[in-house]
Amino acid sequence: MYQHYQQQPSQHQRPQQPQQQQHAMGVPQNRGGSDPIVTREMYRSELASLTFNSKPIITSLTIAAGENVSVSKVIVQTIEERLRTAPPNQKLPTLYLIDSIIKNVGGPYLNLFARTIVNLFLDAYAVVDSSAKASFEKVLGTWPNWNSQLFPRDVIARMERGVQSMRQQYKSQYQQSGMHVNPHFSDRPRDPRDPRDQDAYSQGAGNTHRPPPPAAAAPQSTESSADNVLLQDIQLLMLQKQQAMIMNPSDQASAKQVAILQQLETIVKTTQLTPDNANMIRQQLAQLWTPVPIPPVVPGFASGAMSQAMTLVSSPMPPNMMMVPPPASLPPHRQTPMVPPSPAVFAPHLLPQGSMPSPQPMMASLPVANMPISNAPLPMPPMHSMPMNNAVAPPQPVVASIPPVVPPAANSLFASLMQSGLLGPNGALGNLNLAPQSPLVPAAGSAATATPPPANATHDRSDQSELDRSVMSLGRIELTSQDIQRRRPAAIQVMYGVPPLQCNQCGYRCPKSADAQKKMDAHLDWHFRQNRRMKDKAKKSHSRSWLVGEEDWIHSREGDMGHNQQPVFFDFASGMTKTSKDEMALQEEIAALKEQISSESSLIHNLAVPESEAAVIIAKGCSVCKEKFTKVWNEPEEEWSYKNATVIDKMIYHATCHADLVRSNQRQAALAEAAAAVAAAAATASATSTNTTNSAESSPKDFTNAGLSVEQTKSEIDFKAGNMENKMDINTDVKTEATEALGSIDQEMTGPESDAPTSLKRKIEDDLEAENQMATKRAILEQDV
Amino acid sequence: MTTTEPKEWILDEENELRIEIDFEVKVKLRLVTGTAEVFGTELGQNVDYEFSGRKIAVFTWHGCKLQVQGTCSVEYIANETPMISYLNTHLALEQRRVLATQSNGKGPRVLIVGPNDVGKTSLSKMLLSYALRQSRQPIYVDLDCSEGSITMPGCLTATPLTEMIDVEEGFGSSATSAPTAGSAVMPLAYYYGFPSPKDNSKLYNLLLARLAQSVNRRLEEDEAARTSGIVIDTNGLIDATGYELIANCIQAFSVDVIIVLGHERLYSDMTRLHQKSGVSVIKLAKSGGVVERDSAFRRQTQKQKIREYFYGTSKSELAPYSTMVNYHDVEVLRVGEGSLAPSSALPIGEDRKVSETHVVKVEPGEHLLHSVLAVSNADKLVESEILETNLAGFVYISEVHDIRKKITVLSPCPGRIPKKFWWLGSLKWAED
Repeated sequence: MYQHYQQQPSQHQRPQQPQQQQHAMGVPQNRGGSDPIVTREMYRSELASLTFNSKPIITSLTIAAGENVSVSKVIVQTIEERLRTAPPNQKLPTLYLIDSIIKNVGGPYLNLFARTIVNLFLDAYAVVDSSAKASFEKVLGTWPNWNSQLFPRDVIARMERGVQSMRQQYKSQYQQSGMHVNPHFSDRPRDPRDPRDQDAYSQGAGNTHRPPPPAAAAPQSTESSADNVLLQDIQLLMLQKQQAMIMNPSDQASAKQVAILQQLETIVKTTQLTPDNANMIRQQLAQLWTPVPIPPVVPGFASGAMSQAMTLVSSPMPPNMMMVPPPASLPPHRQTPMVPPSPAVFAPHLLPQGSMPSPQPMMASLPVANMPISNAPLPMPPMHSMPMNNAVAPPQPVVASIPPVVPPAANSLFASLMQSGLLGPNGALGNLNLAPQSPLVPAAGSAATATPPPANATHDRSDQSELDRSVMSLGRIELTSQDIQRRRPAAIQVMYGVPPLQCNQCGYRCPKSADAQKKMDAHLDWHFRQNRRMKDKAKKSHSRSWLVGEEDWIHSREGDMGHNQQPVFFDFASGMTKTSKDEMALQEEIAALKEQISSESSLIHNLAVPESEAAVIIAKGCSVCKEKFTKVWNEPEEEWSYKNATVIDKMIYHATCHADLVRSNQRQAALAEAAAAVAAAAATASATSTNTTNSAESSPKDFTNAGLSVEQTKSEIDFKAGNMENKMDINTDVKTEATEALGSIDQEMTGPESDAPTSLKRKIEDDLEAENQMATKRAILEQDV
Repeated sequence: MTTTEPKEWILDEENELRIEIDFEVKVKLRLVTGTAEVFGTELGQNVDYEFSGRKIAVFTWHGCKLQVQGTCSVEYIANETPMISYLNTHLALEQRRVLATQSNGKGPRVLIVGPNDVGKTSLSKMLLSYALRQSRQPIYVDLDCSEGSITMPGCLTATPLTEMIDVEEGFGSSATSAPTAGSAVMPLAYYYGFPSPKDNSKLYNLLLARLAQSVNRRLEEDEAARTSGIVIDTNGLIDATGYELIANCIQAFSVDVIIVLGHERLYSDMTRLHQKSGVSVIKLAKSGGVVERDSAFRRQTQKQKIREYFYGTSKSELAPYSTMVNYHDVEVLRVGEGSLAPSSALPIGEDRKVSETHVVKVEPGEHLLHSVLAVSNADKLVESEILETNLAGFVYISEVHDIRKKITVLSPCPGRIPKKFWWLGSLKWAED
């Protein structure tokens, strides 16, 4: 039953347990004189704790809903409100709650949710992230084939169509001819039907990493991909060195290395390397890596320029002192984690079958025993499992037990390059031995897939540190009235020079970094969609939304919305919200109409009597006007039903007749109150007003199963009661009892129906007449019963 | 708009083009060559920016060529600006942010004080804009209840900013479903409802404390915002009440940088009162471009703000939703006893403090017509709590049907108005 509620993490379990008991006791189980306001409050507060997928909370809320069927309308309203206002990452648990209630409690909840579930579901679906979307679809998938019918078919069909169209809309965003598709996006919100994505889904790493390049799937192309890997290694290394140069302009070594690397890059690009050459170069590269400050265990440490500079100046760290790559950014199934390739991780695929002397001892000294996760024997030749183990191992043991290896000078790379004939004596491109390539390079087999570093937090920080550096390079600016007046020529450069890429549609500049271009592309795509939507704005209307509550504000992040990280997804989502919001106004009108229609085809089984008796009662016609009911085929329910029929207190009425009846009762009461002339009249008034209240109170209790028609009548009574009392200043007791029992009026209901006030005299006449009619009708009714 | 020839302006390094545009006029601005920025946000080259009812300054660090199309009421180039000191202030703050990132500490909490019309809001905008340009995510706290940069006048707000401030729309306003070029921000707003903090200082302080509490709670969780810090814009109050508010504010937000704008005496007082270890007090000159906004202009701005809330700007139009509400479905509330009599009007020895935070129910009626009411997020009426409950938004009363006991309400978005407690303040607005 709760197949999709995950077991919650254990640390949540403890505090949850007592809370659960609280839930059970907290929500009043008032089957009798229910107080909707109290219930609403209690339920709302319980619901607020449903911020993550917690089975106990969902269960207790479901039970509470089951015990408070009499105020189901209030509970449904509360849940709907919660689903609408909850931050996107908290919508799923609320959907699970709805799912749980309709499946386990059912009854009136089915009809109540059926009225709004389409918009509710689709609006929420549009804003949640892709994994939650999948869960939404899963939940929706269980609804049509549930043991009992949950929602009418058309309702489910509408939701399915909505889900479908949202997916398509997303897809079509990429199929726009000529539109630049940024690779950054293309793996964001995935379509589960897309085979590529399915693959990624099944691998369970789809969210942060792009699908493996074709090279991974096709081993025969390893030759070229090995070169690509090498090229990327070189480029990454170059980047690192360049950054080091920027940070520390006096760093001659880095400058030299960059120059060599640039040459190397040209060579690799322009020539076909023999496997031996490639391996050798890789090896040398592996030793050139120097620490890149990436936040290690202590968060926030070493992310800024200061600490970077410190690291560089104070200790030229051996390459293997380098921190272990952030586990989060490493795909566990990938062979070559690229960010940042510490030798421990990097070495395996660089190791050309034990032929190289320098990495070898390092490998051998890797203290496998110190790595808690890796209990595999030390893999001497490159093993597929190796990078994975290293990736998840905590950094400290590795660092602690590896004997420091002096970083080989760039010169040695240079020298060995010359040795191998890759470089001429003066650094020029030498006679490269264009040997016929062996079909398979052993090392390359495992190094087939190199993934560019995903644009994640790590990278943002490196951008940031770039900016930080330029700011700090100005020297300390004291916050004193004197110091801030000083002219600093470099200051303007900080604002304009460092971010060199600029958007041509607005002034946006992109911080310099490896994925600057990618970010800029993302930004441009955003403009493109903005502009396109601006063109569409004549077709759609937009509105401002309500602000979130205090707690939601405190806990929500703009990042939640995927503003920066997932621009496409976000826009797609907001785009959908837009459409659905446009539709909302329309939908509301439709809903109002629908309600009417459904009341016109309310079902005979609402009449809670045996079928044979029902037939007799129906044959008699409406209890008020005595006209026969028209039989109609109810398409969505696939049943015969009676037009405009409603069942109240085991009597069958035309919904409209019954409303009139109630109205005239109230009018009478009000009239009596207003006139207050005759004592006898007053007595009648109190009698009828009690009557009204009773009928109003009893209807929701006894006939919650009666569904929409009763709902409709209820609201009608309610609203008319409101009207009446407005016009004639009805006795306030009647008013409050009637309205409280029925819950608050939907505001939308009140608009169109308000009729123009007639003169009091006319009203009195009407009412007297109505009173007479009533009397006769009552007599007839009593006879019938 | 008339199709006059666009006027070209050539600006030298560190010059500023100041233009004032009337409310009825639309003026297009375009950067042809060079670089330029408006209140810290850089302009794109050859992009048309449209303004109406604004007083703006286009500053260039490198020199630029600008085109202005349309009639401005004032337009001139100034070559003396305090921009160097503004930029240095930003850089000094940015250095603190860098250090905060490294030590996982708190970024600068900046309080901007000064009399009216010295450019406090413009300076906040600039500092925030610069911070955003360096990929920071500061929180903007607006304590100026007379203006309402983000939501509406009469509110105290806090807004986390993550994307560049739009040149045309300023801070942008609360989230819309519209494709605004600027960012959709999500402010946290509390309702004060008076134009000046003096009008009900007890309530003002109460809300100030509550706002600070919420902001601090968010800062605890939000690392990017914590290291980026906050910028607090204040009302131009510099008398005894003002000093008390400033002191409260410094304490509540643990302010560590106080910027005094264009007021020597205030600077010396602030230095004397608040400068201690860990708190820097600096003074900045007001820009020559700052003009005094008369009450008519302020009223116009207010009107424009209200209009924008419901209808958006010409660039991104919004569709509000009109709905009928029964009198008894809403509870209109106001703070204080009727209209507060000034203390001087009370009998000697009489203290009105008791009633300052008293919540009074107001009977709906004709008097609500054209009022802008603030919808509270509260679900029940508990006096101590409802005052400190943040806002869900605003509604405008476009019609009152006293006989039928109904009101026609303009709501920002379709659907039921989510909450039933509405605050009545002094905001009135006649829809065109």
